[in-house]
Amino acid sequence: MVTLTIDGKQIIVEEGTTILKAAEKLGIEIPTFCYHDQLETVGACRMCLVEVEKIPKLQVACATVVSEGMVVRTDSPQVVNARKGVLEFLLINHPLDCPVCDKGGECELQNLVFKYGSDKSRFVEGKRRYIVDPKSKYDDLAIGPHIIRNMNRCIQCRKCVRFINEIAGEDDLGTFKRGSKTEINILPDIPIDNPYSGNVTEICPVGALTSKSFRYKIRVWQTEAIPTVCPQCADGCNIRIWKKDERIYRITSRRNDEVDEGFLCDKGRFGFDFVNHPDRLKNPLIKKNGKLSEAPWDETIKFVTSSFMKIKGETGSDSLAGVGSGKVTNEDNYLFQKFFRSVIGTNNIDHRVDSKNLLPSPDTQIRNKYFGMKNTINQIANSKLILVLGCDLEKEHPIINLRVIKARRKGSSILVANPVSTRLNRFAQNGLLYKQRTETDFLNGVLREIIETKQYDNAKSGFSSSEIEDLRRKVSSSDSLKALQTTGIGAENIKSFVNALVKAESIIILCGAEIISNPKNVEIINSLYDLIRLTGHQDKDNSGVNLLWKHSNSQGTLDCGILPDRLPGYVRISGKPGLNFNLMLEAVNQGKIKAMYIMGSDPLSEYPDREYVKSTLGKLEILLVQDILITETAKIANVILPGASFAEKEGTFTNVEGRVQKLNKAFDPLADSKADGQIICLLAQAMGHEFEYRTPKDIFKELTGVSPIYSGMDWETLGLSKKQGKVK
Amino acid sequence: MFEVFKTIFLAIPKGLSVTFKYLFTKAITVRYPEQKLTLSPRYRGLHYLKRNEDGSEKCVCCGLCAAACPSGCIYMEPAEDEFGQRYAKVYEINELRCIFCGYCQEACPKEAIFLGKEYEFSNDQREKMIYKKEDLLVSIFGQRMKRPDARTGPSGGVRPDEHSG
Amino acid sequence: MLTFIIITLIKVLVIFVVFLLMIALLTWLERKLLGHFQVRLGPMRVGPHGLLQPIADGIKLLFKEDIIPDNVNKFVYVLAPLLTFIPALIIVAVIPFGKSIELFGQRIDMVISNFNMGILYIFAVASLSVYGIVLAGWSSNNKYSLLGGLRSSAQMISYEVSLGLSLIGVFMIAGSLNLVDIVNAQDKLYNWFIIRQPLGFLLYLVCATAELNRIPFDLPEAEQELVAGYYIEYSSMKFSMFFLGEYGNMINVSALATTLFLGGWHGPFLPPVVWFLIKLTAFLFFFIWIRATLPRFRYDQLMNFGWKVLLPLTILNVLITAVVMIL
Repeated sequence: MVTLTIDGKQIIVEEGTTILKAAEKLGIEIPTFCYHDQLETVGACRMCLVEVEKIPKLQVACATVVSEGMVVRTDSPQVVNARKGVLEFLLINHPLDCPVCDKGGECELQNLVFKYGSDKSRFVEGKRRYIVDPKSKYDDLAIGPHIIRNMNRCIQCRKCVRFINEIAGEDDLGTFKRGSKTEINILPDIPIDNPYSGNVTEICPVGALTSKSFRYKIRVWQTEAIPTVCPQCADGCNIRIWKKDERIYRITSRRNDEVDEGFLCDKGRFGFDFVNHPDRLKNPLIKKNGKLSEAPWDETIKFVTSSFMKIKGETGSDSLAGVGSGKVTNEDNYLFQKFFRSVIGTNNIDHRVDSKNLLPSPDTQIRNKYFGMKNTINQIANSKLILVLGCDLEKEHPIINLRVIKARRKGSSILVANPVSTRLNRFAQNGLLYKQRTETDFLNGVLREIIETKQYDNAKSGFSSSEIEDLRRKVSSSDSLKALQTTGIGAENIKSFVNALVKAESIIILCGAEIISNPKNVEIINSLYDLIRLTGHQDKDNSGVNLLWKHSNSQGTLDCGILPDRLPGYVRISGKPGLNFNLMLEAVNQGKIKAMYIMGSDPLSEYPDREYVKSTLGKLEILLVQDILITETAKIANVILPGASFAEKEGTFTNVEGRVQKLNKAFDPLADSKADGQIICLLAQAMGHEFEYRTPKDIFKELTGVSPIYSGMDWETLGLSKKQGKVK
Repeated sequence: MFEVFKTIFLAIPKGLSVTFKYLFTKAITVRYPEQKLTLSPRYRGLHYLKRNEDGSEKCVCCGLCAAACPSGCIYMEPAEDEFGQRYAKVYEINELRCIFCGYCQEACPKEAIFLGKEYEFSNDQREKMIYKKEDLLVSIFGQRMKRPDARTGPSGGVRPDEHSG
Repeated sequence: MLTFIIITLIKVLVIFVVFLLMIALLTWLERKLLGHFQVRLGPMRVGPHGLLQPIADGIKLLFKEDIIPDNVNKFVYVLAPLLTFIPALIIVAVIPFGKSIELFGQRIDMVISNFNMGILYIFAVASLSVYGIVLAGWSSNNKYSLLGGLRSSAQMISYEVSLGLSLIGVFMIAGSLNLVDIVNAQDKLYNWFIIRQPLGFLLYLVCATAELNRIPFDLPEAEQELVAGYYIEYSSMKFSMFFLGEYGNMINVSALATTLFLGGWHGPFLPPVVWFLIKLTAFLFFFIWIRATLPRFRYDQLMNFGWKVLLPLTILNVLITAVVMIL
């Protein structure tokens, strides 16, 4: 511990802390340009100069480590002058084209010059220009599909290059030339094209790197930032929607160190066009004479409820079925299952439309293997070994991918085993390619290698010797030996793989969609658990098997009981369980199910056998689809109800690690569309049931009461990053 | 009683004499359409948007005028032209809402918007009081391109910065 | 007898037209003079120097929508403007505006009706106009109207007493209530009652202004407090009737002042009628001048002044006159 004084205030900090961090703790602001706490400190901008007693020259606060008895001044005339000087130097070559610059209004340089800079310039010479096209006056250059560079504005802090190199682990952005001619550029004709490129626009303290989609759209001060959660994947990054009136202009990160550490992938950052898309459903549609035509809400609701009642009355409530979705909020899902269980009176609900091979439903008590993530996202970066199995992490979970890269930077080993090569293989100590559907054979090979070479930790694993013998017999059978040949992985590869595994202090295994929808998914997951046990990591903090769901609220959908055999909170159903999606399709074919209500899902595009689904769903008397766009499934529907996008409703998403996060409404649902929960309420009320929820808050309150794993969560504090609810 | 007499015999005649004197002073009325006041050089009338010497619009749609506007009467939408330059795709001023404070002119970093000397642009349709960019733009010589159809006043072609009085 | 009727009818017609014309001109004169008092030009657009402005105003008022609000007492509401306007008209009947002339062997009096109780008739008829105001205020069924009407009636009753008393001195000296006789009693300049009755003249002016509801006594229609007072609900010609009546009364009061104090039509060189009109115009000018100069009284000041100052002074005036006559 070190005691030092900053501006007359004493503070005790840990050894190795920088002056900047210590000042931050005291609430003293030291301006910076090149500093970013996720990046290596370079001390390039000299903006954070402070006076340290007994050191004749000013020191950079970001890189100077504190020492005992240090006396720091951040407001002395010398410091003030130095800041003024640094800013004047920066402005020598800054074009001051703030009126056309998209950063104007949130520019760090603008702000700091306002606060610390001089109000006049002494510079009369011409300014530096990086001429892109000699014929044009404008030096903007598109350096990637999303990024536009204007080097004239650059202050050479190199945060962008450092981000791309360190955080994203890419090398498609670099610094060229030297001194005042320093240029941030791509390699010739190789545009910056990685899924994290959008972050450089947010990181850039000036308008040197700006995003193409936001280019010249609106001034930032005319927009309003709504804090919410990204709907693209299950990682649940915290975002801000910048909107004006009924339109989203851009999305930026709302830093949450537990989830995203302040970075977003390009899909989340730029993929919001669907919200304001002209093809959005605006009115309810009813199929009349083979053609979908617009109908008013009351007529549609009446039509739907009377058909439902009719079918229920004729052939019983089990001839209706509901399909939920991992893309809508917990509240909508909760209401959906409540609608089916209490209003219709059937357990025929499911949301798993993307796979024929379903994992068993989890239980509250056991919360067993087949359930989401065992570890938190943050723990991934702390693990010594990460095994990515059957997952293109960069595409499926870009933010978890960043943690893996971070772990790699910290010195952890990365093992990747996939049917196809992924971009993560660059970092892999051992990147294996097995043939598709041979995961079990491959894992058996690995287990056998461990057992045969006696590399397992007998004490820690907790296996009895007979159990080990069973396992050995299983993996060493002649069948499995032969099968190993089919995986296409050589014995020496398995050996080095096992070497890495047994040496690691902690192991995190990440399984993607490939494993979850695998026909042998249960077997694979069991093998992985055996692997963790054999290496003695089953009870360790930074170890475990993690299944990564696909959709933004897949976890929450499970939690809310969109399952044929579980109520919200995985409470086992007392009576006969309902049908899952596969069985529903069979029942439709047998004529047992006459009506289906699909909310937010698109089985036609997601289910492995498209033609089968298409022909099956076509047999339904009533196919009610509730979505925001005309999906493939909606095209064959009898009735379509227009729902609201994530920006248009309140609610909660539970991300892949079980973190319940709040979505906030940015604006009202488009045209005549309604929030999904509201539509369900309308249907239930039309069928004579009291669904009196005024806001999603009421629904969430009921959910916390009903579901044991959500109990105690508080809606009001849910959105604050420090207090986010975590599923128990 | 005394006060009353003082009022009647002193104050009222005095007041009457004052008003009587004014009866013969020259009226200061300006008979408007025929005579016009000489405008102050700082008079703030109808806005106009200037052009560069090469004929391009000076306005880059930075939005500072709209931000400075206390009555919120300026609406704009930026866009990118074929040279990659920012320009105002839509630029509208609601002259009914405008209070002619001149803050927009003061805020403009490109010296593009000015408040001219025109004040005769009343209209009997509200929609016509929302001035589009074409209505506001002037030529490089300062001539207004499209004249607002004022009921009274001189016909088109007057420079908006000229004294109309 | 027939000739008398024809002559009277012609006189009535001529005076009626001239009187209305004078009212029209008076509105123009007032606006014009007020303008110049306030260093403005006044009406300028309609006709030379806005001379045709009253006609434009009249046409405008005629074509305005004639509104009768739902909650008014319709009969009284319609009656009230007439009650203000008609007394103003018929007062003119007894005011002499010139010496009798001989025309085609007929002696023609320059007065419609030269009868002995002329001044009493004027008082009687003038008092009627207060009913118009009170009834207008009451029938409109509007707070402002009612308050305006109340104020008006209180004010008129208070000042009518003083008005009557202020003229007693004149009658005592002239020894007649016949206006022609009174005019004839002032054939020389030193005989004018303004010289013989200076206090009476002043008191008359004050009371007359109050009777006319004009500034500084325009409390019944005080815009700032009562919006428009008793005629707030009136529009179109009904509204203009009030104004016609008011301006007619203004002419009447001025004519009466001319007759009683400034020697009527007497004057050298010019024909008597012209002299009468000059003196009349001087009074009208004076009323406008007052309007351009003085602010409005407060209501308590008005009442105090009427009862505690004016009334004693008028009685004092009568006493002094009596004492001087006896001596």
